[in-house]
Amino acid sequence: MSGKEAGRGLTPAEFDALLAMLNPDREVAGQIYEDIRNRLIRLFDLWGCTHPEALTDETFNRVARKAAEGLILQRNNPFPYIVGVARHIFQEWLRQQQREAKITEGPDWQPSVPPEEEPDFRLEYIRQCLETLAADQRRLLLRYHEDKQRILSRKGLCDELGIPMNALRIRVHRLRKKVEACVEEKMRNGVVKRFPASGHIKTEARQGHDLSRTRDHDRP
Amino acid sequence: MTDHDELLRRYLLGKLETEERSDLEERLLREDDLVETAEAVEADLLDDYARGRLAPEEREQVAHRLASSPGARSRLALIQGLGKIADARNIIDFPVARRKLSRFERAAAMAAMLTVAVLSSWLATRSPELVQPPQVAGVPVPAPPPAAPRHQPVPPAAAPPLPQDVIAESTPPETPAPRPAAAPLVIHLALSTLRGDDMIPRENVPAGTERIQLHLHLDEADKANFVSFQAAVRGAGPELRVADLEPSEIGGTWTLVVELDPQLPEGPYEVEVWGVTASGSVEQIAFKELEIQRNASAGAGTPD
Repeated sequence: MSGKEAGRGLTPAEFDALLAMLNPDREVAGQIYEDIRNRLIRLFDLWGCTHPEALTDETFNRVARKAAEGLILQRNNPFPYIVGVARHIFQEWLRQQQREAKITEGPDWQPSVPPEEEPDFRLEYIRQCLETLAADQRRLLLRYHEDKQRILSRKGLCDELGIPMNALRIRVHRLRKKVEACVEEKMRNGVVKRFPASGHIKTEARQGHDLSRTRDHDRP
Repeated sequence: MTDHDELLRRYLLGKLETEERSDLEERLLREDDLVETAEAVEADLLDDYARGRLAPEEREQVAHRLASSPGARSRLALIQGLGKIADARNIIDFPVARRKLSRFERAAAMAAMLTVAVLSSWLATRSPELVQPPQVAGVPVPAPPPAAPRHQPVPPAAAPPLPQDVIAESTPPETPAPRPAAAPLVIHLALSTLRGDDMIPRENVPAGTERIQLHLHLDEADKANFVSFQAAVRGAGPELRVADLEPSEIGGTWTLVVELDPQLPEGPYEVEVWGVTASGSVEQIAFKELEIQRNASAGAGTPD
């Protein structure tokens, strides 16, 4: 694939070809596309990629172009092909990371000034988010993460709940996802109070907040 | 860990052969449950990484992934945070889940308390040397000597008659009167003294002891500052952990009562106590040591 092709969006015809490859029924194909997309994002994330969504989109772009060119998959099974393309993109991404690492390790490279250290509220947010769980869920999640007598403690939890270890792991994972979503939300909405040299307190929003009002105030 | 989870763990650590890996990845794309399991296994892996439980090459593999993945770093931070909170709270469970007592059980408990109260009065008149001096309401009574364990053996005696309404609910007429519960061997520990202030107290548990209670004496400040308490007893036997302890006023002292296993093996023990504030935070308030002896010759234990 040429450098120009990589990273460009899809034409309607290419997207139609992709859906037709997934299922003859366009509506079913749309659902399959969404399911695979979600799993691909999680897979790229598990592989440790920086921008899983972008790499997932790139995977579909390439598969769709091939489909538009008349690619016929064996046994009408698109999964091995999609995974193959995804892994190929992952390898490309890895090589790019290595190239960038070499540049930054080069003698001419000057590190940028690190951003000002901000206080980490994460632990406090985790505490707050734990409070949103029911008491038994909170107890379960914390007992699972206890260090002391970890194996015995987890076995004890399995016995108490009457479930095998893998079911316990999933149950805890779902609770952790709830806490993670809550913490991320708090991190996004977090407001940092800065104390400028003038002594005035200026409240500056982080992501997702309109800063225009702050800027208006700053205008002479 | 199941074979399935083990396979995912090896996959995440980059230990699968190409064909095995491709098959698994294809399944990951097909099966929603499998992706979720993989994420859960990854979380355990990150937990092991955070706790330093991985082999060096595994650690390197995880570190490599963390370096490039903000998502993984965020998950690691969450897991580390949960670990910190869990370790600080020292989550403790009842051996048996707490439940609301039934009417019958409440009546039985009331009957038992009345029995103890009447027995205590009876003992005070018959054997005053065996019991604590009587307390006068509102008059502060000095706490027992710090960390000095002593027995409070109570001779078995027939339960005195109970009020008729209690008997009617707690003991059906056709049921023979239950055998009175054995009097516990009481081990006292004052929590207000600092660790190392005194000798490690020794307690001799005579053969045939059917119940052992640990009485942990709080000072007024701890009683006032915390809404409930947690305690752990660690030693030769399995660790005992008790949560949601509420102090009772015994002998003019706020006391946490912990039932110990009467078969408690001989040896040194650690007793750790935490207070839980109204906001839910947990603070350690005492760490004591104790030595349990079995069938030691008379006088070996700490005198009363």
